[in-house]
Amino acid sequence: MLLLNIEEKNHGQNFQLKDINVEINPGEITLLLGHNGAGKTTIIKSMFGLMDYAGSLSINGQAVDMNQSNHIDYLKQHVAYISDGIGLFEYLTPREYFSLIEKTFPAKVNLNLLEKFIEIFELEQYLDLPIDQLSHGNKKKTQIVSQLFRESDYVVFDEPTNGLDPDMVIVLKKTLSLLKERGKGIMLSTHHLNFGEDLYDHLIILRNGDKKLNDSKTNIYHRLGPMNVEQIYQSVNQDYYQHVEEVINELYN
Amino acid sequence: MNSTIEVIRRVELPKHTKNMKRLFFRYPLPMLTGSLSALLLYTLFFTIVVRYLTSFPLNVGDTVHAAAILSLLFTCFLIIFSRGKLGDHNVVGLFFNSHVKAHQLIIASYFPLYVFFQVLFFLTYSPVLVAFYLQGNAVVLYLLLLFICLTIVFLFSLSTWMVSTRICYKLINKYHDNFYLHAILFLTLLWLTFFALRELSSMSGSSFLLGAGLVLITALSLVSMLKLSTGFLMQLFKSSQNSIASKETKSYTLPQKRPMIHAALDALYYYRFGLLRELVFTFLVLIIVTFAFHLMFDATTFVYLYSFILNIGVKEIMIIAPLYIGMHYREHHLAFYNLNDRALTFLLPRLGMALGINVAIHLTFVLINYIALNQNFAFGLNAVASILFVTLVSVWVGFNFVINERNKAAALIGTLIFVGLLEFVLGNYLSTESHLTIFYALMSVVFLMVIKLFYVRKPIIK
Repeated sequence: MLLLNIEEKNHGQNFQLKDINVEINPGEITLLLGHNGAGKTTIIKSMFGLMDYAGSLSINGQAVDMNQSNHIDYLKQHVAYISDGIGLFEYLTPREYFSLIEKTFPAKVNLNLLEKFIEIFELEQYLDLPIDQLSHGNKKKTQIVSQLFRESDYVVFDEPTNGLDPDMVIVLKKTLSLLKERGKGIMLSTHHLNFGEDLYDHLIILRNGDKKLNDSKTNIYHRLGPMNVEQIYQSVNQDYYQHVEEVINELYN
Repeated sequence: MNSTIEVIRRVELPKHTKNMKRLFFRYPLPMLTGSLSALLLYTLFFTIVVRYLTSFPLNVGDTVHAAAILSLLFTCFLIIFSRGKLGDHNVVGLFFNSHVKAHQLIIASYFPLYVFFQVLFFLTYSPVLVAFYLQGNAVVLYLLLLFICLTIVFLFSLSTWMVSTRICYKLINKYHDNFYLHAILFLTLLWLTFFALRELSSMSGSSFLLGAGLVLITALSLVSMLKLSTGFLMQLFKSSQNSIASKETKSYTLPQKRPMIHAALDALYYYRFGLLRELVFTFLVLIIVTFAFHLMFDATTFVYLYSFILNIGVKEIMIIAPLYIGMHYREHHLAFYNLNDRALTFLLPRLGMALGINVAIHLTFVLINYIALNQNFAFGLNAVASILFVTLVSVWVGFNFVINERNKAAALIGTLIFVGLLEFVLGNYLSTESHLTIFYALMSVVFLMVIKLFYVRKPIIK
């Protein structure tokens, strides 16, 4: 299990995250929802040590200290990070980049999986083009495939659907279901309500850094009844939507 | 004009002030140390030069001539290395979503570079002006002349760059970036005009024709800027889109060992980003300039100029490759995060590569001049230590400052000035070559440690 506990994280003068617990279990998908600026990326960057915070991180029971090389190594070996920005060497071709990842994690890659992902994400025709010449969507697909063929225990995805066409969003959903079946723990951070609808096992909803909901699918069902993600989201953000409704009504009148 | 000022006030100035503020907040200690060292160095440089220049009567004509050549060299360099400045998607967005006209956008975007050029030149020449003043000359007039001439030089260089861009397009009729043809055409037009003006002035024996020529050049520059700006800008936008068009390349097999992987990554980065192209071009220009000076000047003057080229020109090329190490790291920090390597695995192959390139540049330059022009072949421990020092300082600059296509030229010249000042001051205070060598070596180690401690940090590396 991957467990992140953010006791306190201040970002700028007006933003604060407090008492946020993120849990990613093997074979489960945790869905992190929130508006722009809610704190999703801050949580993910804190998890990977890219931002300082007060709190702790543990992976499979081992505490991770970001000041120790072997701990950083442990984190990177066990958790794949697919950032919102395109974190690739864009002067390489996708073929070269996949080979680079293969050589970086020699004992932890599945080349059969790579071959299949290249096929279903339709990257064959772009394998020998420098990445900077690819469209944003194809860059994103290269980034996704480069991390998914690694045999990591966990995958953390920041805004997975950004730049993907409808075909690829469907392919990605199916791929994530497969990876979940194979026992990977996955976290999806998104502001698209429908993407994680059929996938999630655990839901976290944030608003302006505040945790509005952090519970399992079963518990949410017991508490709120049969609701889809959009309804759950609206229900936990009632105050905000009430205000929006009032403003809209004013405009009508 | 209002739009030009608005773009400068709302886009250009905040960008630069924000960068400086960010740097001081993020790296207060290295920035403070760097600023104080630069101030100290400049004060020492100023004192030494003024003391030297006041020891004999200054020749105004020679000084103006040297200043003209130096200012042209500076602008050539600044304009060529800032060529990617307007291809940015932010500029495209601003142009298509506002009332700003093409020439206003161009002037506003180049304004910070112009200010940098003026300040830099003023700082370089202020000891000369002070020496003039101490010898009883009217400095205000020289100051005014200097300001006007530098403005004309910059304006003319920029408009010549625009003209050469349009000619290149007409000649090859493509939106493809043809760097060599473009740069050669630009340099030819610029220097031909300079030599024509010089001949005009020496033939007539009076400064009237020179003045008339300068007025004509200014008028031509302004007209061509107004007439060509839209075409120039649109061509830049289209070529930046054209470069996105797919072109298949050979995928290389990366080596197995970690340091070798990083060396291969660095080599591919240099090659595919056109860095090697820039290095080769600048090197060839330097060789041509050296040969031209050999033909134009007498032996004594040439020896002086050769030493200037070796110490300033060749050093400028040496700054390019190491500067990219920090740029590379900054631009690709998320990709490096995923590589899961140690700081030295990242740094050492890249430093080795940059040092190798710089030693090769120095050796090839002195060897060519030794064979063709019978110049001294000087390559010893001191030269290696000096190259190591220049390399490490440039690496540090690349890490410390956010360098991109828009400010690359200023960063290159700024680094050159810093290194040049330091070497000049050290040359005056350290009596023997061995002391200099030891100092360079020690300072290189200090810079390497600073880079490792402050910049290549966890958790990007493990």
